[in-house]
Amino acid sequence: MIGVVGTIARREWTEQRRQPWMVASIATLMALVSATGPLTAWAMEAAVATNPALLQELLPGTSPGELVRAAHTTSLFLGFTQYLGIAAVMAGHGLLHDRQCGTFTFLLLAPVSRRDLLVGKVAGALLLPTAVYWVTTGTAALVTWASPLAREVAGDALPGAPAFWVAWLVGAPAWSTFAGALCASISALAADVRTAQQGSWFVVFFAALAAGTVLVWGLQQGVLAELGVAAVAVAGAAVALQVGAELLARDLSR
Amino acid sequence: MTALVEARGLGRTFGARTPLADVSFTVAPGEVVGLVGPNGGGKSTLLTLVAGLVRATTGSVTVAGVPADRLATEATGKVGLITAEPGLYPLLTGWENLVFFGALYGRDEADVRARATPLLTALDLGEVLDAPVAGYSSGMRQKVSLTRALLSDPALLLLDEPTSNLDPVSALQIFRTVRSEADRGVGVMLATHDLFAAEHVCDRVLFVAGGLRHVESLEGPRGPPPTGRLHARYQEWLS
Repeated sequence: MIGVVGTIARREWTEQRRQPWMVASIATLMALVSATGPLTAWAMEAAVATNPALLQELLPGTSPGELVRAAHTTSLFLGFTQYLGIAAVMAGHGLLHDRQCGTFTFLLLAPVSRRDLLVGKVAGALLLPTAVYWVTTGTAALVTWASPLAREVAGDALPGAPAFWVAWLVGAPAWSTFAGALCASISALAADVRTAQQGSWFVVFFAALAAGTVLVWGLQQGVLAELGVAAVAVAGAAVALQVGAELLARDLSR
Repeated sequence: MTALVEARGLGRTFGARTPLADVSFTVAPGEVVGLVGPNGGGKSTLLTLVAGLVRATTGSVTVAGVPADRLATEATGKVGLITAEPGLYPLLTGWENLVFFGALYGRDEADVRARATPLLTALDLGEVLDAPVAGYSSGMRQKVSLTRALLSDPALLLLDEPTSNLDPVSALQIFRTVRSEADRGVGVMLATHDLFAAEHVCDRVLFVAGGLRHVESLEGPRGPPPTGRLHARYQEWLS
């Protein structure tokens, strides 16, 4: 099973690498949303050190710490949601791409189970967004963590906290897999490109909001809550892949 | 001789539409059976039913004794398919496409290259396969597709208008390869609008229009369609 899944995923990865503008677009978006946290943290560090009076004048009633915490959690929320959205759109387009290339028929004819086909497609779709997500949000989190002010006000959402690692390493990828599996199933079953796109967007909208919210909430609650959030997504992904495979195998004439 | 393909009362309904009803026929190993008929007459539906890509609403079809809908799991690689659309990944090279699909059938790269190289040489397509498919002509894509179909040494080859977009030289190469595979014992079902080619390549031709309307047996030696003076001049001009 791993062999076939790996073969399908590797082919997706090979094609993605040959689309530099797509890679640049994903990397730029992730870098921009991830940069908000560290830029705010270090700007506040500098302002507090050089001209605190001016800071109070510009932001009356708001402490630098509150601003840094808000910027960091917003940056994390955006990083989680954008990663999920990008991965799910890629997965949703995976089988659509095969329909457009005319390769879908040949995949169905090959001795590959529908489940392996879906898992391979989703895994292949996740590779690039996950690599970009880990590099951009990971770098941003480390840079933010280096700020004493950020550590003081947002320590529960930075690399010093175990919950952060659970959310960053497991939770967000699990939610992206869940949404990707749903979108891949929709694109496998949809009769046309527009239906597949709108179906995927429906999933992405709600899944991104839900995932971003619960992952950030879990950071405040601690590592157990964050593990629970990740477990829900893992179970959801498993069910979505199984249901998608069943539907795909029900009638191959779709 | 034992039938390679055996269809009985085969039919398929899509909603209110029934493109194919009550079709029964057999295909023997080494036999080329043509499918001719009007557009929408059910030729492609019949091929997809035999390939197990669509489930029959009525009747049944087996390939080498295996029900068509279990071919992918129980008779790996028994069926090779070519459609009018070649079905290749445009950003991958020809070789990468072949190696990918070969891997799905459990063949490693060396194995794929060993099997594909003589086929590609016969199809006059050896040197360009390291370039992305996006730059290939229709004929080149179809030749890669034919090579893919033959990678797993299928017992049955299903061809759905394989030469509809091809120049005469490429079409002739495809027909020559198909006939040569049939002479090795591969059963072939060929849906085509090219009656001239069908008359020379096929052993039998089924007239299909919503169902099986007529079966025409063809006599004499079988082979690729003959070429005339114009074809010779065309090839000379190309070279």
